[in-house]
Amino acid sequence: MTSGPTRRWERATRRILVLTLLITAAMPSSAAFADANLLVNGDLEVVDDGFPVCWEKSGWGTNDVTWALTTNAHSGGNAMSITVANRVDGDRKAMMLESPSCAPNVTPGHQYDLSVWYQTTTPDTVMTMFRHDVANGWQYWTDLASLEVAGSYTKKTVRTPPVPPGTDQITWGVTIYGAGTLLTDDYAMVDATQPTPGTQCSAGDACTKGVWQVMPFDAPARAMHAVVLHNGNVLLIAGSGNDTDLFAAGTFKTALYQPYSGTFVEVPTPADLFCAGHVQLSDGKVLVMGGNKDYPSVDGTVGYKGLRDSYVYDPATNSYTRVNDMNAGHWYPSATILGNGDVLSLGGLGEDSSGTVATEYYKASENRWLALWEANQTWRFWGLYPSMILMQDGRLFYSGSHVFGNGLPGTGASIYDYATGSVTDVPGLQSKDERDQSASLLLPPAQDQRVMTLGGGNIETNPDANRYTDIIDLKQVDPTYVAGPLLPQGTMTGGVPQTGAQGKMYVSAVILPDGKVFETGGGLHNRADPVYEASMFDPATNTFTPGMATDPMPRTYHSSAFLLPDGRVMAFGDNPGNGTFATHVSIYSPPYLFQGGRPQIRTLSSASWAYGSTQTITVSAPVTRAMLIRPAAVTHSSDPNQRSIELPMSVSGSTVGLNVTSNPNLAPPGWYMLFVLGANGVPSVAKWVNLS
Amino acid sequence: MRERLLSLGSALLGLTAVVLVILLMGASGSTRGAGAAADAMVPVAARPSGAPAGMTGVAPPSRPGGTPVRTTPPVRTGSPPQSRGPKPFVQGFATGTRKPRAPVASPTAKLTLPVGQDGCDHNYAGPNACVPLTFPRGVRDTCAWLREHGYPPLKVVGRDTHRLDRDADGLAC
Repeated sequence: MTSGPTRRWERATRRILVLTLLITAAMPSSAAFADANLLVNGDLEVVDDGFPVCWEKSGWGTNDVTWALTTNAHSGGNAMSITVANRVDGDRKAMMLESPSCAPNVTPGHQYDLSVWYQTTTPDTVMTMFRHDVANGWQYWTDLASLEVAGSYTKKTVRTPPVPPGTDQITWGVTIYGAGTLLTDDYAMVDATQPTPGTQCSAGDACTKGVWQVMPFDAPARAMHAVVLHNGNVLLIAGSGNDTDLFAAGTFKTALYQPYSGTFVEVPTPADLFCAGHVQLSDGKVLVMGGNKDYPSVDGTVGYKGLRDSYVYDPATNSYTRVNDMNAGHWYPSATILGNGDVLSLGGLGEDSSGTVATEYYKASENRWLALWEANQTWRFWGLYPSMILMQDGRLFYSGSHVFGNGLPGTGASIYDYATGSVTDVPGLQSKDERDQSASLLLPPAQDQRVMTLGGGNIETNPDANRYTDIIDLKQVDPTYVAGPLLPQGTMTGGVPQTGAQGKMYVSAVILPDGKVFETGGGLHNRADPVYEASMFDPATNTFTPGMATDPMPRTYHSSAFLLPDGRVMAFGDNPGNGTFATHVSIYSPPYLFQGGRPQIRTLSSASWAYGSTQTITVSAPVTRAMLIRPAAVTHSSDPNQRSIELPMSVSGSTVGLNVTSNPNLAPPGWYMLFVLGANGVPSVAKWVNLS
Repeated sequence: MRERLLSLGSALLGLTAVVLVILLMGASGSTRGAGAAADAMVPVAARPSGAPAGMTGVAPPSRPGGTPVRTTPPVRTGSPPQSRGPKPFVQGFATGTRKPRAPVASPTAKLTLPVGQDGCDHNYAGPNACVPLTFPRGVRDTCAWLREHGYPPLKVVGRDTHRLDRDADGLAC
């Protein structure tokens, strides 16, 4: 028992200490040392009202929690203890107070090393950050790294991604979401911003606009499907290539493009895979479903018919193997890989040209499509090539992007829960009946859970394609599309500038390894009037940089673009209404390739990665970010599986630990391109890793 | 001299700020209750969980009541460290109160769709050509538009919906 005067003296001492910390934290950054701990009371030694000053209890859900201070500290006399039991859902965490005097100030664009000493009996932990947006207040930012089980004090250090624009403060802490006890102590945060080298570009316009090269060869097939394989090759699937003569002759084509040699290898193609669906499985094989059973009848009374066939393409053997048929025909089906590696396929036209309402579920562990009764059915018609994007909780977001005609009834966009069969509309998509052949993508990084839809038209009513973009934040309680910036305008054939509300359909949007999105290609009308325009979208600022170099080739119907493992973008295909098909291949080198030397990933501790792990690489130069980008499986300028997953880094010189998300819904299992981004803004060439 | 005065002024200002903040903190401490001293050595009871905090999905900070206190080191389970990786950490996002759409009954008939799903008017046939169902707005001379866009000769195989076969020879334009 302590005496009254002594306790008063101790409390007064603590307050002076806190005050000193607060004043220190408030000092201008120029007066602080680069390695100064920016946290107030990071060692938890100053306690008021039974809890560390500048800290608060946080969390939610159905669970029993016990908060305590403990003398089992890493240093000093206090550590924080959180014990969770009987967890049904939710999490608990001690967070820095969201207040001007307690939450550390940050500078947009800077990066910070966050460190904590911890012990934990459960691996179900993660470092979580919130940020204060000067316009929108406090909000979740991201999760950084899981902490391994540790019976003695262990230090974990993670570098934040660059602080987003408009952010003036952050808070962070360690979340526990499983039964067990977590002890933490000696939190620290230091500015770890890499100096930005000066520009070294002497490539003229390419420095800011990039440059296109039309390759001196044509693809040997009228391909409208492309899959980037984990051996670096590109599978180009044509089937009959929208050519009735080839269909009648039973000539179906697939070509394997080998970018490093510029050569093609023909692949025997067992069926007309024209307008099939496709997705990469977790082992790197390609699942192809549906396709073209028949073209419309000569008298125009019967439309396209869809195949029930399904095949697996194996990059190791460069061949297709048939798997069991689906339950119905699918011409233009969706294909989305789930967090468990299975695949959902929806929509399209059936074997008799009617709308297919069957939900098709491919069980990867059994290499087969489930029977109709084995899969959860909603009996809904999802249209053709509905863009179904996997959300972080396993549900699918139907973005409203589709191919052919009007959007679906309702608001034109929805959240679909396969487990329960529920479909809930989300509002806000502009002109939902004119988003035919728009582009949709999960904006980078995937952790942000934001989807963007760009442009579109309508092949039935054939208006001028529009300039709309819409962005939805799926982190919100009730997500709603919000209008984004208008698509920049370009020129038409003959150099005629676009005017008024003229935009683009058949737009491609490609995630780049610098965190931006390259938007390219498209046309003004149904299979006509190409638009020569390209821009760079920055998800951090929601702005386009217009005036990027434009593909010299028209890229309208049956065109797509995608990222190559070397950081360039490949575009292919164009099938205007006159029936011709451009087999030219164009390759775009973004501006970052002209800004100086590329960092190299010198060593990789393993190419097989586990969720929630920390993987070690060594690099040749300072890097600011690392990410996994899922290789493309794209057709009709749409790849709903496209995503880039941030890998928060633990940096120690040239050795970098990469912290992998624990959530497979953020990064479905499979092969990924691992990129690092140099301090000069130049990405590495990708290394291939398999996440499972 | 001027610099020394400025320096002295800054020091006084700083001291005033220190005193003010100490006083404010003291007041704050009084408000929270001095009885909640950090070293009170009171065991902490498990607290029932709160509601999902409005289901904001942003791991909403909970600020439950109660008296967090220092305690003895937490009891260890005694079991060896777990070797499994973490369970997936899934956030509670997008779980608002919007009503799902009504379920759809199992179909009793096929879903018939218009033939022109591809936007092409199949009354006209040419090698892989696609005459638009609807010409772009403002197009007055449809034959000129087709010529400008490089269309091949087209046969009329159904109804001449666009009136492209003015001389009724079975060929468009």
